[in-house]
Amino acid sequence: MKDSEIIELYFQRDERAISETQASYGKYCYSIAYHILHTNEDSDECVNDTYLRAWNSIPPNRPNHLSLFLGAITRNLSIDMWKRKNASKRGNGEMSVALDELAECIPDARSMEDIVETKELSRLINDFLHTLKEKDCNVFLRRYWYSEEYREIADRYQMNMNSVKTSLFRTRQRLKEFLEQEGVVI
Amino acid sequence: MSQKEEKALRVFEALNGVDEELLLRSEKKAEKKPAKIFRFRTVGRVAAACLGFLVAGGVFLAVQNSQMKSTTPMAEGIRFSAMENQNGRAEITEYDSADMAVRLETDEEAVPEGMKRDGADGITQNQTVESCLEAEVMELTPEQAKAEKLGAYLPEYLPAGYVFEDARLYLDAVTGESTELYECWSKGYDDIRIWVSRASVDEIAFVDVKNTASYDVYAYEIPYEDSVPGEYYEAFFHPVFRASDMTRELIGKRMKSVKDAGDTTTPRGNFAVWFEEGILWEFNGSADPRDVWAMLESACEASKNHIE
Repeated sequence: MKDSEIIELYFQRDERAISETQASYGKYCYSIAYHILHTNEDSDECVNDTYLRAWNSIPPNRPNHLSLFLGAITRNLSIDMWKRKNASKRGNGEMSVALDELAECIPDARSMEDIVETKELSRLINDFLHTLKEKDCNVFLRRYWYSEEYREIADRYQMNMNSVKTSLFRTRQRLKEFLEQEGVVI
Repeated sequence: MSQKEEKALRVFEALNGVDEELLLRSEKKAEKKPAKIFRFRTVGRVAAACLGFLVAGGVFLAVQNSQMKSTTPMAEGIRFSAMENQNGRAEITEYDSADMAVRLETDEEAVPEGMKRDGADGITQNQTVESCLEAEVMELTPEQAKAEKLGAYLPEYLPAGYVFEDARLYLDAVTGESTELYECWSKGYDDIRIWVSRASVDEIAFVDVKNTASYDVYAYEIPYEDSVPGEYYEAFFHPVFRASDMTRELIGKRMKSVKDAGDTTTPRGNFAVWFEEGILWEFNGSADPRDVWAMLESACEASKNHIE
């Protein structure tokens, strides 16, 4: 079923919207959740919650790209669950590795009053991503938006592992410089 | 959670505001390129063609120059004035003799016959070095994979029932050297994937084989993310052993049968082995550990013969 038809089901409050969403994007959402959570049960829970959130937010929202709309919800829910389950632990799974890597992008702290708001940080990162070459941007997003492993990224873009690692390393360095130039404190 | 991890998490969360167009763009998978051969001999041909143009141009200039010397007084001879353009690059802005105009386009007549190449396996004259450098990966047949230098480390032995799936050779975009060779075989839902690459010893954090707790998959419950201590994470999920440490028992500790819905119960696992000549042999897949050991033995055999 086409996205527009599924969205129409949501607008008609037809419960088939859920089953059609599951059929079309269940695996996609599950993959996003699993890359963050690494457990079947938690991933299933996040995906089911995604359907509920989508049901509650369409209407009034009418997504341009249903997959990305659902993916963003799944990602948010998965991050929340990861925080709940891992706040007290260290070194758990690929997510921790990704976060360790992202820590390299963080500019040195100045005063707490300068801490940038998430919305502003989001805008800045978005601006930064638009300055990157397409390949570097894609690799960065697959790693830090989708939490994919190096190997998966290498397979997707027909690159070798070292190229993926190098691209990510350079992009992290550039992001740090960019945020420093913008005077961002996280 | 440390303060640094909390900050990193903020960046991670902020990525949720990424433009949809960027995310959509990242969804596209690269098409599997047919063997777009990038070899030193290819670049060599381009370099030879460039050298040819330079030599031909030099000869042309020298001949013209000598002709002018014989017919024109020095004072009326060639007068170049090089000026700096806005980019700071010297440009030839004037020349007195129309005959001296050096054409940068390919001149069919100026190219020696032996350097004209066209067609599927040759280099066209308009082909740039950059277009060659785009090539990063080649799809290979099993025979081609075996014929590669790194192919010496591909297993001679293959467990019964597994058939060739695909093979790829990754190339350094600058030197054209092969950096990594990959081959995959499958049997139903089971597959075996091997990567052979070059890696120097200082790039690798080796697993201490005496510390079995850091890599033994039987010591922990699934999901491993919850049961494996953080300090063992790298060794547990991406272990690299020295070739001299490898035993059949060690492979057994890295492979475990798991009952997952929709998957086979064939033991699965991953590990990497580093050979002293700078070769990293990585295994990921599902097979009987005895078979995996037999596959590794053939790589050890290649190591004894030590490829360059």
